[in-house]
Amino acid sequence: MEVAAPLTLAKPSWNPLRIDGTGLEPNVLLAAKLIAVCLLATNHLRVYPDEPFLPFLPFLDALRAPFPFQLVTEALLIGSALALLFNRRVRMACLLLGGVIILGVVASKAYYGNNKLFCGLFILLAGLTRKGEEPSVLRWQLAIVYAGAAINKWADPDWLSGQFFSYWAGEKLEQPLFLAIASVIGIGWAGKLMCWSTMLVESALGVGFAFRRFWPAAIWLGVLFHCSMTWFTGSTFSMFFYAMNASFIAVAAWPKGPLEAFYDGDCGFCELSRRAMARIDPGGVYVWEKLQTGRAQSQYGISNDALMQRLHVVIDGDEIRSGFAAFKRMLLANPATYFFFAAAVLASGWVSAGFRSLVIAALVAFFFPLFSPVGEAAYNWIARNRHLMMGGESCQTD
Amino acid sequence: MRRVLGIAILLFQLGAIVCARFVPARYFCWAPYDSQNDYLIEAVVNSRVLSRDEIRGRYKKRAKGADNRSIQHVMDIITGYETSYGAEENAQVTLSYRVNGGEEQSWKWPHP
Repeated sequence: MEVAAPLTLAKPSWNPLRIDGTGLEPNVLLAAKLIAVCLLATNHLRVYPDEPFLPFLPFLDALRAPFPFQLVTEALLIGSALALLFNRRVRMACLLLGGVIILGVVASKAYYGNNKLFCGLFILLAGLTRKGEEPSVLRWQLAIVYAGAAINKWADPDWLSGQFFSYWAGEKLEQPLFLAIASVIGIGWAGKLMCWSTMLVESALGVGFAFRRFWPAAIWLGVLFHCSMTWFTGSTFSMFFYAMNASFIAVAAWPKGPLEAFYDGDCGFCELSRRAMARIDPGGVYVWEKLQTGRAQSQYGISNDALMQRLHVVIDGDEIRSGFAAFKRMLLANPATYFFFAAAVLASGWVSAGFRSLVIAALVAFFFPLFSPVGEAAYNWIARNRHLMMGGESCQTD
Repeated sequence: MRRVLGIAILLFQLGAIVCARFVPARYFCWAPYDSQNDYLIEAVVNSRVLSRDEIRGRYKKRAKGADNRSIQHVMDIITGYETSYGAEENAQVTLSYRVNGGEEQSWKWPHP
């Protein structure tokens, strides 16, 4: 049985890609890290207030010059973000980072922004959770965000009439898809369609995150909602796209232990694939075992024929996935995957909004259930022809 | 203690959502990009017309721009500045704005 590294350490690792062995649940830590990384990568330090300006809490005016507000807050922000990234006292780092972000928000009416507020609140609340506890406070935070957004819109006549979208998408953005729809059904009805769709989705998300049975659906709906808004507008709405998608990780079902991966140990292609996956798994998320040991059959009842045809993964001892589904599940359990997502979206955004939209569409499509038949077909073709990919008639390991 | 703090933070937000039903401002109640408020700020301070850069430096908001939450936020910044940091400067400010492309409206400081 191949084990990349022990999953639980006595001391947390300095490796940013590892999320185990700290005082937070792994997926909560991962979500907080991703938000912190995206905050730094989008250069939010540049817009952080250099001193209090019309603070919501008047006593904060005492922190104007000569107090070195900018120096102190930026040092705390960078220091706590790095501590979080490198797994140093992560709960304290979350409290500090979230607190500094919120301080900036309440210290300056000009700096106030919902996306920054959410980042600060989420990270702060993450710091209040503990390993071994369900992060219900984070789930309720998500429910409140969407419920609040929905309630505000339902109470706004310009949303009920569709006027908001008619003006924003039709006149300000001149959004091609919206204008195409408007050319068919009229701009008024197009505006109403978009407004009501948004309100219904946000309402559904508010309900979805409030009730456990709807969480998986709420996560997918949320991902699609935020991706759609980014595609539609060409904007990430500052940190909203990154922060909301990252926050869903904290409330997603997360493996309690390593994923057991059963593969054909006599296949050179399979062995190469295993080594490649192991390279992006410093935290020991995967435990590899050759099907030839027989344990997959004896313990989990997986037939030898099935094992010979497809990779099989067992999650927490009872959930079994094979083929493309197994591959996706392995990727989704690995923190490196999410850092790759963040890097891909950030980097593509530096090229152009259109390119970023393509990258986001590709990433979503890869994991979206509707794409599974395509993925399975591709996997099956590779599996059937894997011996040819080694350039020989047999499929031998080194 | 941490549970109490977490619950308090969530309850604060619920309170802000309720409060938003009664006031035009949209602070802490999750109303991002709810309203397209295009505005123009013109200011005269001590009988001198401020340039756009000076207005931006004064209010930390563009002289001509858009607020995506509530035009009340821009009014609050102008009011707040002129009643505190700039109270001695005898400023006269005109805020022209349109909400979601509607009719142009005007707001002045000090109030007439």
